[in-house]
Amino acid sequence: MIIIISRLVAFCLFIILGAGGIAYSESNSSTALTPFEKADLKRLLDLEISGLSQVPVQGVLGYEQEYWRNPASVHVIRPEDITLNGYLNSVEALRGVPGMHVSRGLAYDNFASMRNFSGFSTQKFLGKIGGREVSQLMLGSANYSVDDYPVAVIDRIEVIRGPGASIWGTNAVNGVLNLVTKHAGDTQGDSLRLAIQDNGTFLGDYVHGGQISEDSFYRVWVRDQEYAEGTLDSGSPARDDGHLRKAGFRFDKNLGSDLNLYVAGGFATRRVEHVLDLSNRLLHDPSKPVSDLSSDMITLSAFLSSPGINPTFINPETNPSHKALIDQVQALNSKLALLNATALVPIPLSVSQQIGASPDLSSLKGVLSSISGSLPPSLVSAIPSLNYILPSVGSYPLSAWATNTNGSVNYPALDAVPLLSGMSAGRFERYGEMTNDSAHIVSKIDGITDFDMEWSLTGSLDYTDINMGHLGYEWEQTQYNLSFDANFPLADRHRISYGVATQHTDLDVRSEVLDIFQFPGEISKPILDYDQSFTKFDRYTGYIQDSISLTDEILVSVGAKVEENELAGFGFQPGVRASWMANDQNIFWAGYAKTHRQPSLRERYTDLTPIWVASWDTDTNTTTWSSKTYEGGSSLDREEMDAYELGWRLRPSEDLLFEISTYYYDTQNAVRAATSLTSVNAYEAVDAEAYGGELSIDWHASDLWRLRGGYSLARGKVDGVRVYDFPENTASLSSHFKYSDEVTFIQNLFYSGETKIPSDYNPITIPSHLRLDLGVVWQTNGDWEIGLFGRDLLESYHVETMYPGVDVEPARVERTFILTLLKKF
Amino acid sequence: MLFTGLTPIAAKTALEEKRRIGRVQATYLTHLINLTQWDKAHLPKPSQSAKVVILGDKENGFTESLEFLLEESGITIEGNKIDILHFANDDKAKAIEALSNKPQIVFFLANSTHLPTKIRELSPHSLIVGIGRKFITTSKGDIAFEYTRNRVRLVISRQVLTRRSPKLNSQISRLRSVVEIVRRN
Repeated sequence: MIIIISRLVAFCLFIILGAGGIAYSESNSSTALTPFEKADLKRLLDLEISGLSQVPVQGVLGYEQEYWRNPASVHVIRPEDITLNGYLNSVEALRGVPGMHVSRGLAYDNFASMRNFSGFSTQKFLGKIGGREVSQLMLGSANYSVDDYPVAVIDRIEVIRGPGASIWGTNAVNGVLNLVTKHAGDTQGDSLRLAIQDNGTFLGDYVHGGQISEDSFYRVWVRDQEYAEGTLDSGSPARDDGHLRKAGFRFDKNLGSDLNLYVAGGFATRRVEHVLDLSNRLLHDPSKPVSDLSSDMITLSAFLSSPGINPTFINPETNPSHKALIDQVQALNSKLALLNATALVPIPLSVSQQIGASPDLSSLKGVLSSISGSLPPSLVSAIPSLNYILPSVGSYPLSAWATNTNGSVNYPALDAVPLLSGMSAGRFERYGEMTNDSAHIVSKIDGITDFDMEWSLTGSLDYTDINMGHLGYEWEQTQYNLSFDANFPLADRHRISYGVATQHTDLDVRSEVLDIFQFPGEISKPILDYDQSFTKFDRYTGYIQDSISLTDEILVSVGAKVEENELAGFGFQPGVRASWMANDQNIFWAGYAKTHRQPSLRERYTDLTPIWVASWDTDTNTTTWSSKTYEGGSSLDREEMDAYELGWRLRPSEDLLFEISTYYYDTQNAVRAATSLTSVNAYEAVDAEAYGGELSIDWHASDLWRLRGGYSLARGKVDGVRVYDFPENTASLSSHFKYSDEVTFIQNLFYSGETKIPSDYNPITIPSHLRLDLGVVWQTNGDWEIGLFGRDLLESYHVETMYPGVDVEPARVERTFILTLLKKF
Repeated sequence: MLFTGLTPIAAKTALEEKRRIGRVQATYLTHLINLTQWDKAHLPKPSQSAKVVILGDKENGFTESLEFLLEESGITIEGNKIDILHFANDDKAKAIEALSNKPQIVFFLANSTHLPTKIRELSPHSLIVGIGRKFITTSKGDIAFEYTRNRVRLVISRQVLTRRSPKLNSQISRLRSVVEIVRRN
């Protein structure tokens, strides 16, 4: 910690005394435009008159993300950043944002995570889409593919790395992703976008906007996305085809002078399949069989080597087959002794079955039977008991398992047992339909009073029904949100922002016992079993923040959030951020924030029973099956993070911008999965650290050529041990070259360092990979835009990520070619 | 502490905000140039530049912002390149001389000591633009920018939408929710 802080301080001093000092030669001028101002003018020039009328003169720090003195690490994605790069949806566009790691799992899922230690999960940052918080309480994450909008209605996507300002609520831990949609008046006419990949994946959306009266506008839209089936790393079919269909509307009305209303809504339905890896779910505790067999073999060995043995029965000196028998017994005995001596843990039943069918044992029994006439009767009667006892066929749903078998899978955990080293387990997979049906409606009324108070009142209703058929788990979430936000000037150098919000959530959770886990005579348990005592949740939040123009050069925001909710109790989250405009070209900023993340319902109130273990009951001499249940962590407290950030923004000219951000996060009670056989809970609270930084460059080299690049360093430690579930190094370089007014050539290069995906039995290393995309876009004289893109051109495929513990292996991210057609408004 | 020790007593807009107002005003004016039509008789010869005359002492970067935007956007007035002529309050004689050459647009900075009514007499076919609603209602200007409720608003005289030249395109009147159209007194 001390080392980190000293490094940050040294870095800051370097900036201020070094490069900052060099650039200080030009001071603020009262008339000449600074490079930041020129760049701002270029942005303003792109606004229509209606847009200009909405530009605030005095801003709220942390809310106006494109303000160059904003003390935060911010990246703004525009609709053209999506269409010109051939991205199908918004999540794909996050790939070029420094500090974000976007990886593709199956055809329908792109995972976005931010600034380390969160793995591939979207859990650690706040997602707001179209004015709504979209995180599901159950998983604590959002599905941005499902919640996405047609690009024609997107105004911008703000990516705020770090906890952001006090105005953002709980769960803005690693950052905030805020997708802002356009006013219906800005989407008048018809817009169409079609994108077709060479593998058959298709996306199409259509938006129509119209005017109802002089001051009221509407738009409606539909989207269809069809996913083509991909291929797993091994070459097997990924069974990830399916579809997502959505529709939505927005109505805007000007109710009076500075009084506006909008109502928006939509619904989505997605049908895909997902797999559950069963290779590690049915275990056998071989301790008793090995121990008994070993005991029998010792007896047999002792008998055969007894000095008093009758040579008419066994005579190894004269009968070579008797010699071979004794050797065989001794060899098998030593193997079993070795197995018995190892602290044997339950192993996959499929592995145990291989041991039981061992040729050594079968062969021995065959030889003994063949010479049974030469053996004493007591030994002959013992031959049938020389058995490695496996669970009886009737003790578990064998036929259900038989339908889910699919070859074999590596099982590195067996390497710890000498005689099992290198063995593979049987690969079992169960596919189930994963459905997602959702609908929402949101309404916002906002205005400005004569006292310059800007206010808004927002209400929303969200309904989601998610069925994870592969797990036998389904929940319906109905969520009601109401919030009031306001800001007003105080004297001449303050702007006070405050807000209150409440959220009520109703849940209906259902579990199903899958056929593979229905054991005759045993108590059935679903894989995920939710505690039905917790189906209603209320959350109350409030914040206040003062944005202060301390001097003409120094801006400071001081604020705090408070929250009371049933998942995390009462929390107080203070934050302070400041920026210093050292001169016309250099801005330095710093921030500290304490943030909370509430545990998800999955982490807190859901028991997980993913494994059943067969063992021999010595009392009844039968096989019994017992479940391994990881309890929900009802004692899991909220995650609390202290976040420190430093940044530098350098704009030598209006065409060139450098930004550096650094961060250090210290998290207590970080929730991590813990599914070893000795774990009691599925999740445990650990201490975690993350530190790193991002560098980004945006250079308009000429009117024809724009270059953007980024590099991110991210390191994480959990309980002091480095973790690698987030790439430590990522980089991107994007070039847009306008060959003419109509034709633009696009090149995107992405690098992602190696990551390691933890697993119960088969951790997977995702190698570093370099991705090259090339494209050409033809913008016709009218409103049409046609694009042809080649993606992942450097290699035929690579892998990027997978769901640990659920997927068996990662899917291939294959080279694809995409044709896009866009009709603008 | 936050609300007492750090706040100057005098209520004046911070420099940063003044300059932002100037930038938004300049951007509005750039758009308005595109939306305004002049009779041929009120335009310079094709080989000459159209003129925007700015009156008053520089204070918020408006002049520089407008220069930058015109260069950046390449906007012309009916095909004529646009020159910006700025005259401080002390340069009254030079300003009068420039105004006698019938510029296409005259912009009054907030501190301008010129009277719009006088300027209109000197250059009756110029688009007269200034600051504050009263610039239209009282001073008989054509277009004004008003800073109110933390926004820069556009106020337009009804006459500028109906007269022959210079005439503002009537499509702007469709933006009633963001543009105020008023009558001159």
